[in-house]
Amino acid sequence: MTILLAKEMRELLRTHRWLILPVLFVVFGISGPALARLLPVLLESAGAGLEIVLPPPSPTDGYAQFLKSTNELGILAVILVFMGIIASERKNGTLAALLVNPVSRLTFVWAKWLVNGAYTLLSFTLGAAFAIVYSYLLLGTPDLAALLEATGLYLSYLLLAFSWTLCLSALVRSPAAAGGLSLIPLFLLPMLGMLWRPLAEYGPYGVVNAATRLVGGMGTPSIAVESPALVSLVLNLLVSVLLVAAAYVALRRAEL
Amino acid sequence: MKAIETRALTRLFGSLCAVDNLTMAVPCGQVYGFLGPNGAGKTTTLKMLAGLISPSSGTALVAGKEMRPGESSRELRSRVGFLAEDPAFYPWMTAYEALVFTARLHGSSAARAGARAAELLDTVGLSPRAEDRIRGFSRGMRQRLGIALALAGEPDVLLLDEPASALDPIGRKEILDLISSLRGRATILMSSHVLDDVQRVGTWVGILDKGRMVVESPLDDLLHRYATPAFHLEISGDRTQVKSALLSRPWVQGVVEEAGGLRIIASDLQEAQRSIASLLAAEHVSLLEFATVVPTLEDVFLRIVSNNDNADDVRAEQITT
Repeated sequence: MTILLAKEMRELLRTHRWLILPVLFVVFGISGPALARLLPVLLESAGAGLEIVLPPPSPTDGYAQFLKSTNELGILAVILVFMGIIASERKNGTLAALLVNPVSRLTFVWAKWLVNGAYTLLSFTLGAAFAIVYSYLLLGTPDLAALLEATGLYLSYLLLAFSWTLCLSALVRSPAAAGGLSLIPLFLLPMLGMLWRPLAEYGPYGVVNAATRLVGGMGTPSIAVESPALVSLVLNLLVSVLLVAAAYVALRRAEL
Repeated sequence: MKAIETRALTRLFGSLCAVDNLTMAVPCGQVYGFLGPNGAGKTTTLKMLAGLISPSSGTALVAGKEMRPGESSRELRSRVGFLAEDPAFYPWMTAYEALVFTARLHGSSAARAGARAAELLDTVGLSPRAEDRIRGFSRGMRQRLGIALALAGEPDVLLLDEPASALDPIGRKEILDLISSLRGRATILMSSHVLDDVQRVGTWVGILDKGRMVVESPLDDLLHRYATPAFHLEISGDRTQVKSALLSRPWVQGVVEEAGGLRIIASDLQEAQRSIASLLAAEHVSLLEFATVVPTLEDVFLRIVSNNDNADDVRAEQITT
């Protein structure tokens, strides 16, 4: 296991992939509070005679903007970065070259998940740290506990998105197809949640809804984390592990 | 015990039978040339032996144990080295790192893997490029590295899929010399459609055609058994026309274009000697050289595969009627 873990870490570093997500999330972390701070000014200057009245930005608005950017573009970036995590290895023959050696396919999948999952979560956490610091600098002292809780909740959704992408990358031979299929839940989950309320509370997207409520929308006061969000968080973690198991099952008797 | 054995090994891809009831046995310590035209089923057989794909029926045995994809054959895979026709590598690794990584996957300690990597780089002549990333390697260097990786786990059995067929003459010579040098260290099953390569390094030969084993024998026995009078013919006219005329004669079994002329595989030596002059005269070409040649594996191969085609035609006719 350690040999494959070391290989995954070295691959992240050598291919410069390690830069992509941290840079992206840090950009969101800086731009979120900056945008929240500048939005009233921008609207006022672009108003051309129209009177637009906005409440002054709250200290958590910067983080809310960061979360919004992550949810729209960050997840997409995670899918694009990892859609070929197994499918590309299968396509270019390195998976066959690896598995002719005495390597367990389960260990292979776990190593991929552990290293790249940790990288994804750490990248987001770094971005969140920037968002908190810049919120403090530009918007005032935010409710730190709420922001940390929102970060924790969102991490579980990010892990689920990563695990889902990894699973599809093991199931489907083409990285592009794996990426395309990985995008479907991003659109489907919020829509289904609108149709059936329990899914929006307890389902995978429950943590995102709860995190958004925690940090408040623009000018909306934040509220405490609810128990459905905790159920959603635990389910996301469990489903993530199950997706790794499914990836292994897909690879177990795969022909290379 | 045989190093490799297959028993009624069959692999279907939809309605296509890539390997058809293949039974073969590779004795320990031999360099076994696995011959066949493109699409004969060589790569599919090697992949089944390497545990990369499953047979539809039958068994693929390595050192007496069944090789299957998945977890069940992990221990067995430590005894087998495999080189794909177009070997794949992690391009971001250096040659040294790739070898250490593979040796460690086979259970070597870090120190032992490092020593093994240095030794193998030396064996395949890549020591000066040890610290270079693989992405910059030429096809010949990749092939040599592929063989080194296949040897990294100190396997008993080495499966090489067309190890030299895509290389230039210098690269081919290097690879074949390397395979020759491995004789006795491991049992080598080497697929190829380049018959000269197998004749140069092989000790045993199996000829596969349309997924079926047509003949399997020690190389020397095979050459002796299938020895057929053959001639080298050099002419000063249209070769294609003469080739067609030759193929229409009952005493000609096959004609191969080769450097400087044509090689004629004859079924009747005396008739060939009697008739060749008149045939060339009829085609209005001049004879420059006519010499008897010792049959090569290529002659034998053509004869066997052509007989197999004829046998298929007969079988097809029998079914139709």
